[in-house]
Amino acid sequence: MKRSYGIITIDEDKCQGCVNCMMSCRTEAIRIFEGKARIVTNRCIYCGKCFRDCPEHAITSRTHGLEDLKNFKYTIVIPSSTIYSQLPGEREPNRILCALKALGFDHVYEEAIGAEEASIATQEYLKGYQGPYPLISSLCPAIIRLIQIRFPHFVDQINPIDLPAEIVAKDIRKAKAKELGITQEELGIFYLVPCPAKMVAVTKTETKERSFIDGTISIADIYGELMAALREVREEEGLQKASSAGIGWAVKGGEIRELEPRRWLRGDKESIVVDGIKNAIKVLDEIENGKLRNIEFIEARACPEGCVGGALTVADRYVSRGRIRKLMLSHGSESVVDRAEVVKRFKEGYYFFEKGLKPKPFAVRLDTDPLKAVEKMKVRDEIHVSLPGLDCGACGTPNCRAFADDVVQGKAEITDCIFKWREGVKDLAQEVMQWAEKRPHSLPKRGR
Amino acid sequence: MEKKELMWDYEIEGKDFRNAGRVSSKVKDILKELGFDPDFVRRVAIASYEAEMNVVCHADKGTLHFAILPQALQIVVKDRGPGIPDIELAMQEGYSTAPPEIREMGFGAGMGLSNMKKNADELHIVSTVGQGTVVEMVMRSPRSRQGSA
Repeated sequence: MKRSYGIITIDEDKCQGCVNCMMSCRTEAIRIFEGKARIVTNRCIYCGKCFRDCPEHAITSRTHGLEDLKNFKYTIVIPSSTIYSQLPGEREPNRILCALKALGFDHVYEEAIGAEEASIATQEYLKGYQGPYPLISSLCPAIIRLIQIRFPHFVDQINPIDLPAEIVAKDIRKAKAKELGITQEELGIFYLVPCPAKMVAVTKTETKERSFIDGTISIADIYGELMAALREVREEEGLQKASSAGIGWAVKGGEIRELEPRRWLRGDKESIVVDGIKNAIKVLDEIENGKLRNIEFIEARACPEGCVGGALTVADRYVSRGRIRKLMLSHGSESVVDRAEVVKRFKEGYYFFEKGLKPKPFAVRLDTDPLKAVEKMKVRDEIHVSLPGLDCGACGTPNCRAFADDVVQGKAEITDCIFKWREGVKDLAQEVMQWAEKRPHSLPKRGR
Repeated sequence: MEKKELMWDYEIEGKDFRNAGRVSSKVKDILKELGFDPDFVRRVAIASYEAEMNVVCHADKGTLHFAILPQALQIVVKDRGPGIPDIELAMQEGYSTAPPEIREMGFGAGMGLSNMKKNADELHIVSTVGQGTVVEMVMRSPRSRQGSA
């Protein structure tokens, strides 16, 4: 049986209830219930880390596939720049785009062009930006959701410039429909994504009424077909246009590279790149606590090494990063993007979110009455201290603190902890022994 | 009247920079869990962090007492330490008596007391040179966010 949680699906026939996903989830969004993994959706940030950590490959996500192309008169694919790092033998980016197009699309436009526009728009935004600091990159939707849930007051500090893929789709949508003489509904724009977070960011966009993109397709889903197409595709010139500035966004540090200190960033403060959710949580926590200060810009990515480490990619993330870096060296920084035009559009508000992001604070409310909540918190902490603290996961929650939460809320029993259960059995056995020792006066004493 | 359940007490070790910030982080976690307004939580976090850091930088030992009152939140940080000879001077931005090695670690920029003043609604300091300092902060109207969970 398959169980769906938004775009994420767990194949319960494959799931062994082994706790690997639960233990690897940084937002404690997974529980094991009746031998199967369950997702707590209001804690999930759709990073896809569990996809990789599931030994049974039981967790997947999908919104659209190549079969959806037939619903449109004309189709366009916007491939994430990570695609350039995915194929063996360091295929030429232009050839990769030709092969991608050959899968059934009428045209292909690179996400990297949108990244170049986003870079310029961010540079312009920084010119007038007076704080609050740090400003946080808006590229990684998993990080954005992490902020909404766990660091809600940082929501206003997310750079309000749209996703590169949305920018590209916006650029081409109207013009292409007009050029072809078709309605906008007849034009299908698909985004080839490296991760589930981008799937959600587009299909359930929160920054505009409706996305400029019609569907998302996972790189992993079409990988085999793309490999086959690469072997026999007839190459067409000039599909690949983006420069190193845009392609570089596929790896960590690529975005900040375009915001040189003392030119765009102020430079009298630090700007940092952080990858991995655990690391991002740590940095945001320390900023919130006031321990980390004087930070101007954060490029945070949920996946190690950046988007090349996405859960829907296929190639090794470290090799992929190396390939992108090679491309950054071989591709100049000369851009096809007209800077003056981007600046003009920026001033008209073209690149901004249409709607502001909203905080979605999530806390386990132990009780709606604050007094009772505090009481329960204290009981919870006492239970927590009494637990072994191994965070073994055998009880179905990711750690002893989360288990104590469940116990105090009546969702679990203390004996669900295997160690507590063992103590209980031991106590019971001792009691049984004591009873067994008791003999009535009528019987002779033992040993006679 | 102060209810006992709504009070917490923590100890702060002087010169323990590895654990510095742990106590104010606990205060923050409790307020977050209780669903207080995020901006309010941030103000409390900054103010209590500064008070905690003052103990870590200057004193041998200290305590942080934290209470949720009906209309406000109270934080009292007491320490056994050198005390502040001139409180008015210490309140000035940039004034610091932190030794150079502490400044090299990025602390002791002389913003502590002024940051507390900025974030707290009330700030009371009582200090005896050679004995220690008591800092009391009151943060008002900690409205609970209803139904945000």
